[in-house]
Amino acid sequence: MTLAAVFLVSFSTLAFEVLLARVFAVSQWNHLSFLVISVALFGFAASGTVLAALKSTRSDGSDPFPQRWVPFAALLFAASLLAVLVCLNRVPLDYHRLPHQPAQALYLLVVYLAVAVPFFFSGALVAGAFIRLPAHPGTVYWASMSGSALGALAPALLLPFLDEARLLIAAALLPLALFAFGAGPGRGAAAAALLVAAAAIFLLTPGAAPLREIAPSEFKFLSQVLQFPETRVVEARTSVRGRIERVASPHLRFAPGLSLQYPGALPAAQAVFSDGDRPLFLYDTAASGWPDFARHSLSFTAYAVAPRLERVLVIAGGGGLAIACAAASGAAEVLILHPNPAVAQMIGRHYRMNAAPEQARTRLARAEERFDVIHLENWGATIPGAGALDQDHTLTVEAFSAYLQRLTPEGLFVVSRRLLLPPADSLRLWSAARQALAAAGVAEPERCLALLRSWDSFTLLMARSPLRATAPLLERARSLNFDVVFLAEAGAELANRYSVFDAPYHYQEHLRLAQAYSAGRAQEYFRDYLIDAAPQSDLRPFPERFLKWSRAGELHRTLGGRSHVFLFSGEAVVAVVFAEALLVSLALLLIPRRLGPEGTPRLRPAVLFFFLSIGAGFMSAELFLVYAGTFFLGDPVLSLTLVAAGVLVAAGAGGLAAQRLGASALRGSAVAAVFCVALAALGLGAAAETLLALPWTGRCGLVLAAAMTPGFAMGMLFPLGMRFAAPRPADKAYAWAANGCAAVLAAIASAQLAIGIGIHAIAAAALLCYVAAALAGGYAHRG
Amino acid sequence: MRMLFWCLCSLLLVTQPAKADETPQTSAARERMVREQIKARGIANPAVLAAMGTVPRHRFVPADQLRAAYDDRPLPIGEGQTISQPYIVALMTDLLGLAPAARVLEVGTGSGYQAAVLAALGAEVYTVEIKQPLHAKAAAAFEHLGYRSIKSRHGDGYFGWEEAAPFDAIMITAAVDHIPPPLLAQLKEGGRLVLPLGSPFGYQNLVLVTRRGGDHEVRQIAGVLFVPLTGRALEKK
Repeated sequence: MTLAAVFLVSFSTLAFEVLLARVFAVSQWNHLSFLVISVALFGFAASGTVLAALKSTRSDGSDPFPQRWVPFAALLFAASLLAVLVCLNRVPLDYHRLPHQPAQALYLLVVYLAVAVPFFFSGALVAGAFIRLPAHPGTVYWASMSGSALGALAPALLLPFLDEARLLIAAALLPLALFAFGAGPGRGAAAAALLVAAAAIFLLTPGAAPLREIAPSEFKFLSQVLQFPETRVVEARTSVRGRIERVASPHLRFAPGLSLQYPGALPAAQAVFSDGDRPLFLYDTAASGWPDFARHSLSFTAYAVAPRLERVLVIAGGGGLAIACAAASGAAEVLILHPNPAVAQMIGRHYRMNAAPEQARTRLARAEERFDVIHLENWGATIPGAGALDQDHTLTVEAFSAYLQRLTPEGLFVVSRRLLLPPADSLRLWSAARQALAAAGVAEPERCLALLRSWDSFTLLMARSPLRATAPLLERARSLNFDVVFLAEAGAELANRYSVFDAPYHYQEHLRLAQAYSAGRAQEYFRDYLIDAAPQSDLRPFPERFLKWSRAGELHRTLGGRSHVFLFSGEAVVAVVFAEALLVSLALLLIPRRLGPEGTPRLRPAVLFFFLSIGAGFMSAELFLVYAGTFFLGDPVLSLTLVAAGVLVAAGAGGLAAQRLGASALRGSAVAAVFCVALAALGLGAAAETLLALPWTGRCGLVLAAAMTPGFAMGMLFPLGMRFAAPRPADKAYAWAANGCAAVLAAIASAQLAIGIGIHAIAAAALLCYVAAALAGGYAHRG
Repeated sequence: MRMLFWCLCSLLLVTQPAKADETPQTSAARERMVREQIKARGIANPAVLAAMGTVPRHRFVPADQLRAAYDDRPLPIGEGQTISQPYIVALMTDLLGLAPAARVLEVGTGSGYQAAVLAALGAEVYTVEIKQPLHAKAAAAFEHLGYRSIKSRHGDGYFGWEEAAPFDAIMITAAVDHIPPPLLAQLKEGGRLVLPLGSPFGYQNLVLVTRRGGDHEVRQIAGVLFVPLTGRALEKK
């Protein structure tokens, strides 16, 4: 029964974790999704601390986790899961209000603590099982890991049929199956189980919708739009990739970079929202102005000056203007790519155009197509820094190389973004394009680039051959009042004519950057610049990350000394969460050691170091695989699902196999983990571009195989450690807490490593952790 | 248990609404706001300073934000909307360069504070809000505070206010991805249109459009929101 409980609760726990990330993505901000993994592991770590403390304070040496507690813990887990769902709906937490309403800090704390409770009971049950079954840690580990693996997969399979809230309720009901098979310790427990089941069923009723339904923050774009008159959601789909809602309204219009010289009408549009934000507009093709208005947009410049317009590729992210530009161009063939199948289908259906549900990078790696114009539409986050943690492989140097390869000899690549001060985005993309051109052997790469701006956006053009200041280009800029920020043959006089800054800031900075490249001092330029504007690579694919901690004070002053500007910065969130996690971890690890000499955990430093190393190593390796998997699958949640399932299944099998091994396997398993992590990292990295061309199922198989490769060896270490290095119940509980704390810190540090150095640094950190575990493992079971 | 008690007490304290009436404290806070946030940042137009010193900002913020009404930052007002930082309100008003009795269109009434400041300058204000609850609240505030020169209506500001056009000035208070052509068409010759660029939660600068014949002159106004450090100044010392 203990193993069944471990399996079911682990299943529900992982499903809860994935669903919680989805709930936060819908209701709040992606940064809160990032907190989920840390909250989960804190719950686990705290359970270990409490069990260690309980054992420490029992002078009679009785079992701190007797058999009757197993269903009791499962019951508390289920009840707390339902309570969390209600709490998420009733506590008026809104991350956007955090700097303006002190109570929000308290709401955040309440939600944080409430969300940790189910993880606490789940962790207590699993840690208790290790204590209850000291001779079979491998079997307990297998039950936990296999349940977790299936739980990680469940939302991906079920979200198209049930929304996040209903699945959460189902996850709460699952452990109650134990009681259905008579596992309860008595009538009281059975009655409690019935009560929890009744509460779950009540929450599923239509009358309980206000307690259940996850609504987006009032500051999300969708919430704003739904307040417009005659506006409603006309289509909604849910999947693990996100919640997609199509909204019809007579009040939606979208035209970034539209010239002020355009006097005509703009077609109204429907909008497709992903998780309540990042809208993609679908214009009314029967309305006045369609698609001619697009000719007056800055982005259309590429089409206006392209010598040939037979085939156009639109890489659609948010926005929707690129499709209008392609339609207005009259190109014979237009292919639209969108990574989300539901959105791609809506685009294809709305415009009756060829829209494929595919990642741009995989399509370009796979198909030998050439295009006259490749139009990437990616406007980035509305608030600078808000997308700092978002992994995006469409704006890296390698991506620009792929675009170049797929252009016809006279073809043009175009991307438009929001205009920022100080210049940031434009410098980064210009540099990425320049490096791609240089890598392709172009002699004077800057001559193949042009940068124009309107009052609110800039447009970068890249060609395989030099772009000239031709009459059509200059006449277009003049007639539509666009400024030419960078064009090899154009001078400063064109840079600040129509949308006038006090000084031509963007021109000045691009000139300095071009000069730095010409003099071979680009590295120095980026090192010395106020913010991090260096081009991104596939190993460090975070194009919206700009903050340099060493220059934060100057940046603060440059932005008028307003602190709230930094609040939405992903880097700031990572730093704050890490500091907080470090403090809580220290508390969780020190509390059991201060409880008195009687039953205090007596893990030797080598043993403690061993458990810390494997906790950090496991999480680092897993997160490296998630980041790498995102490159191949194009979706972080899909990658997380597959990697978690693969790693956990393999780790469970490793735990089971470890049951037959002796103490000497501690070091050997750690060495095997080092080898396997290195193998997975090198395997994925060495032939990334080739592997990217695999079909979708092949890439899924690749990610799964890469996840399972190190998973087996990594999974052997914890059960082996429990058996041979932590023999006493208090030690086991303490080892569980230490493992959890290390994993929390590694998860947060991995995000910082990824954005600061690159995802390869996470793999290196995992390797170092397992090397440390191998060294510590040699001493851990002695004495 | 004791900790829980104190947590609950703190929650009650921070969410307790303060009284909304004009008091010596609110007058002093407003005076300080004008002196330290607006005048000190270079806005010298006496009419704008006077208007900012007259309009009771605390009457336009929700009860849970009263204590922060005169703080140097934007505040949430409900419905996912914000009331702008006082300096932004003053800067946008100043940029319009209004003559007395000028006719001004505001797109996005929001809290109604900006319209009240324009009215305090002597302008005839037409303001449109697409969100019904905000429109209703602002209209009630105008009525209650006696702003008779403000005409407000619920609707889509994208098309302006045709019957009252042309306008000496137009103010768009929400960040937009394009300037609606119908608004430009309702601007008088030499008229000014001002709008913010960027999110109120993040970096914002302002865009000032002046109509000159068939053309539009656009100036990017950073104010003190961006301290221009370029060239060598951007490099590490």
